[in-house]
Amino acid sequence: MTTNAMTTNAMTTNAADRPTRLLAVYCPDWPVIALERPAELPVAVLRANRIVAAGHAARAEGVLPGLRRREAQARCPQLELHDYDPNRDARVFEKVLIAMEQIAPQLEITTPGRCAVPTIGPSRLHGGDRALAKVVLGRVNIALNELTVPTSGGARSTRAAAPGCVGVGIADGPRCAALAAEESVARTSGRKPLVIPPGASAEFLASLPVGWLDPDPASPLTATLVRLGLRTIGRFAALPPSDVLDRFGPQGLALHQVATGCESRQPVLANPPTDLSVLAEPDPPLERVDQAAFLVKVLAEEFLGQLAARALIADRVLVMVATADGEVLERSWRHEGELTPSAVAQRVRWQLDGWLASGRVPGGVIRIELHPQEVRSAEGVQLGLWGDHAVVRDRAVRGVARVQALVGADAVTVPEWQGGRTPAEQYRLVPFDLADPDHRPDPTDRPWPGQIPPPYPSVVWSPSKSAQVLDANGGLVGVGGRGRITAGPATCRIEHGPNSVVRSWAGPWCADERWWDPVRHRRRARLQVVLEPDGMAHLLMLEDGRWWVEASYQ
Amino acid sequence: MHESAARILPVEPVEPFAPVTPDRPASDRAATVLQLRRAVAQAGVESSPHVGAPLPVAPGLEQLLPDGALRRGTVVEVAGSPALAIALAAASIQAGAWAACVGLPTLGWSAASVAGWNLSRVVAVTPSVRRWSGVMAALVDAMDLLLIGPDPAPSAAEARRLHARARERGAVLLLVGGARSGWEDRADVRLRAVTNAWSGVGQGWGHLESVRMVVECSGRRAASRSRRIEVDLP
Repeated sequence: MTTNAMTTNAMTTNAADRPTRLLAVYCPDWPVIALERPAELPVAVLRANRIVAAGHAARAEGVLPGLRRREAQARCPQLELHDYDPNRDARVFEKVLIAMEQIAPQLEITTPGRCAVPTIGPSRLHGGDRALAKVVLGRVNIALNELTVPTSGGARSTRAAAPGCVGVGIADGPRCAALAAEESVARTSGRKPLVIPPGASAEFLASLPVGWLDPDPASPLTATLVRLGLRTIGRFAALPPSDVLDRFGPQGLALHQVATGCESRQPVLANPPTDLSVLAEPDPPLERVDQAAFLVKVLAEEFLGQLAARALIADRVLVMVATADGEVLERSWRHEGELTPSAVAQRVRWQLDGWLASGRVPGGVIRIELHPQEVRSAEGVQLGLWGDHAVVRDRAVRGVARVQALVGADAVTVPEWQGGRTPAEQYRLVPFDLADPDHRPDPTDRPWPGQIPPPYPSVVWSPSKSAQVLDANGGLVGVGGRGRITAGPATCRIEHGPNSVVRSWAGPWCADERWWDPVRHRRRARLQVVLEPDGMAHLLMLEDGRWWVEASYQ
Repeated sequence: MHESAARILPVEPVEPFAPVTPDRPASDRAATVLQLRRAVAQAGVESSPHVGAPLPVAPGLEQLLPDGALRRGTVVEVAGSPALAIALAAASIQAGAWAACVGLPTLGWSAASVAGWNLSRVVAVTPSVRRWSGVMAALVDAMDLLLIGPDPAPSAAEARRLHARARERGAVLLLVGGARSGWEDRADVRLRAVTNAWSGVGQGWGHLESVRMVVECSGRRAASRSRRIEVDLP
């Protein structure tokens, strides 16, 4: 019942003093901009076979986020696809942050592509919110122009002509400001900043879809709201707060406060005691981010451990770094959702990587400090953190960190589904630190056209083994242009092994891939064979008249 | 668990600690010996704080293992069939166990995923020979299940140390692949896929559907008698 008392208390005070005004910057399709490719090329970034970001030229061809690789390539055959890499995104975003920093200090970053800054001081300096927003918009656009590589003619590419590069919004509270920045892109293609007057947040939000309230688009809470018929933020805001708390708990109430324009930003402890911050002093000084992997992980665990021991959580983490020449750099990261050690460690790594890559720490890093900001009591959040599974997970993650210290951070990998036709394409191994444990791409149950039917092989040869497949007369087995096999396979020999009699076989399945691309065009035919004497089954592949063993069903 | 194990002995001291005199009937003595053995076995298993319940396996595979599950701290050798190793590990990884695949770069992840592995609790490492024992020591502390490929092969001393550590920590070591150097006579249970009979595929029609595998089981202690068992996968 303390929960009730505390939240009602928070609500009454919130009505009195408005939340902090913030300026939010939103760069749509940041993963594409971070590639630093010429703007006129159609470029898109792919994760788990889905487009997550598409550049302007690609969008003009109809390539939109959420499309599958195949659909996107069908719409735009010359599409340039890149793999999703959050490290690269963060490293390049640092250049935008440096530009912003000259206008307004106290930057806070949410994810690469999104940041915010309190307007109270800078606004006064530049003569009002609107003037500040214009200055920031101009400065960020210049920074983005510098990112785009010049085209072959040596002339500066025309990114300025590509609209919708950056949105700037000013509003009360972080979530509302972020939505204002997104709206500025949607309404004016980023040409004009959107400034919501103080106290008018609820009015601005009222007509927006309720799903935008939560930064996580797959949030079950907003999905429930939609099912209940509350499709706009305004309809949700009209509910009495006590009913919202009753039905949706503290997290629902937090969203309701955003919806009503009373976004809670007041920390329970105005200044967290200093002993909640943690520091590490690497010796010798760090000069590459991979040297810091283990250190950062330990630091992040210590940091969250101290907060958890006091039943506190922090909405922001201030990363402070001292360089060998005595300079101190700091930057604040806002985290939406549950703060896990891997999330903190990932942000610290991004930040170190950004600073090291932009040459701002010439002598190396001699001290790293993490300070919690906006500390509040852990209401309704800590339940997910303390389960039996969490204990097992912690133990495993600590073990992985020890292994990483031995073999390097990138040598410990996890399988991630990316989809594909052959067993070798369906999964790729990504470094443990890059995989997001909470949002792993999931193989969908929907069929994948052209895939070899399950069961899947337990061994996938990489590289494939060569094989020789002969018919009953000793001739090489081939597959004709119409997908017919020349003769049934009678014997098969794998690498330098013995000649085995084919007991049974199935296929051929033909795949004519990327026929529109002269370089990467591949025509292949596949066959399943079961061999004597022990009944071992293999997946054979024929390409350019040569047979290979791609995988085995052992 | 630790405390309850310590209490087992005082709770039932009546028979075990009664003086065994020659005039007592032989059957009585045999019963006492059996009871003592059970108590010792139980105390031995439960005294280590890290050793928990055995890792479950899918219903069709229980007959392959002497305890009907993967007992913690044991080494299980699975020769001739990575698919069988995937199937043995599936139930526990699905239930919440963490697993590491060491030196298995060719493992089919699609097969693992379909078998029921929760791949967010699986890591894959391929260490060099020089780093092998350090990496394995860290993983044994952290993971419930280790799937170990044939390369790189440890020395006999390294394998012995790792086995001792696995016993202490309660990890299961699954040796995937054939007989290997370093692990001679370490395996508590040996499984070897002898023959495979695939169904669903004919002479140019159908596709592979399921396999009936004849598995030869042997091992130490309870599993010492060699048996041949048929299992169906998947």
